[in-house]
Amino acid sequence: MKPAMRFSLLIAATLLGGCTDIGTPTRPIPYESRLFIPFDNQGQPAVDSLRFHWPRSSMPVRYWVEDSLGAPALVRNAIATWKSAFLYNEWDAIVVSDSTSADVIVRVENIPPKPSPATIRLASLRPECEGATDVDTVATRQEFLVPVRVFLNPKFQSDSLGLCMKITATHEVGHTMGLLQHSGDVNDIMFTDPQATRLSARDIATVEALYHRDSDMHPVRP
Amino acid sequence: MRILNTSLILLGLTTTASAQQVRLGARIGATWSSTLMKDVIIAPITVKAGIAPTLALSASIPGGRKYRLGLEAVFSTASVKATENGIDTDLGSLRTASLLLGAEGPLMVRDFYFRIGVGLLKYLPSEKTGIFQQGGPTRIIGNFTAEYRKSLRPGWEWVVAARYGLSSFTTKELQSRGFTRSQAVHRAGLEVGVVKDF
Repeated sequence: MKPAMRFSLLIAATLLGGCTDIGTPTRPIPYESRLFIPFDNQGQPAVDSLRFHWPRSSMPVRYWVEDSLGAPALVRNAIATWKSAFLYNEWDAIVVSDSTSADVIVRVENIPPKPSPATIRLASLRPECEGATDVDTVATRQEFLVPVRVFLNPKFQSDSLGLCMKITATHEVGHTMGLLQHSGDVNDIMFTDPQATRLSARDIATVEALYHRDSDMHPVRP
Repeated sequence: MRILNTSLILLGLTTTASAQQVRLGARIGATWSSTLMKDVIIAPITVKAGIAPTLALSASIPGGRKYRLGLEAVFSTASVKATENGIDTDLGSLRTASLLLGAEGPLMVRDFYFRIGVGLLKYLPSEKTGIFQQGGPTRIIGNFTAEYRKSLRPGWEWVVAARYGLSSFTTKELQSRGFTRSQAVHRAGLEVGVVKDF
């Protein structure tokens, strides 16, 4: 057989073998990520549900992190963890040194009282440490007040404090991305009392779905 | 990488043995690629590379009365975009490098030649993020090129080439996320250049 013929057959085999479409996966059903606000604009009891994700114009989202107990490294790790959940660069974030331009402020301290009754606090509670993210939608319901404030609080020294802080930082960064509910599954990083050391398939599916839906709120800076 | 090294060594040895018969070529042009992958999260998403500036280098030796055997290396670079509901997201740039072992010879029409080849195509993303967070894949590629050559001066020819290639695309990251099979990727290029006989 002539060399040209052999190569033609090889190419034909390549053509036949390659004529397919990629098969898309079946993703897990996302958990609820919308923010539920139990009162209306006048402060009367009423439930509103609001979805939030950072718009592309806000990327990369800027985090200022108090330089205490290795918190900047914890937040950088959390950012890398969440960034790896995305296939199409839907979300990105950086740690910045200027707190005045930050979209998210992360402090390492005892969790203070809520600044106002309108603030929604999402708290995580583990034995060794705790975290909280305060979300304020202002009165309009279409605005998401920035900077979002996050608190990381090491409660007592133990061998597992480092792991606790790492998990809690990842959990709280998840809230700041727009995961404004807790998961009911202990295997998810967004479980109320987070124990998972990595993102679950449901965490990934939930944040993917969130960033491919319309957001009800946009970030505003007072 | 082992195949590439072996091919280069073989070509080097063959080139030394028949130095008078070596034909070298260089072409520049542009390559269009079809969709790299498809996905559905809420709405359909397609990932596609833009038009890619391309450099093709070739070397061949006689392989028969009419035909020649040779190696061809093709390099290109393009931006990659994900499109969902008509909105594009920039996924960075993507370089490709392919090395093909092939044959070339005359077509029925005067001054027209073919070049066919099979080899490896390496995708080299600018950033290890998203679909490339576990790196770029290496895939098999098959190329067919039709060339029009005209003598410039003794030993030199200029060439206009239309190239078609077929490969497949998937990445380790996509496979780890449960994507199955791979996407057939069609590549079409138009190039101009020169060929020199030594």
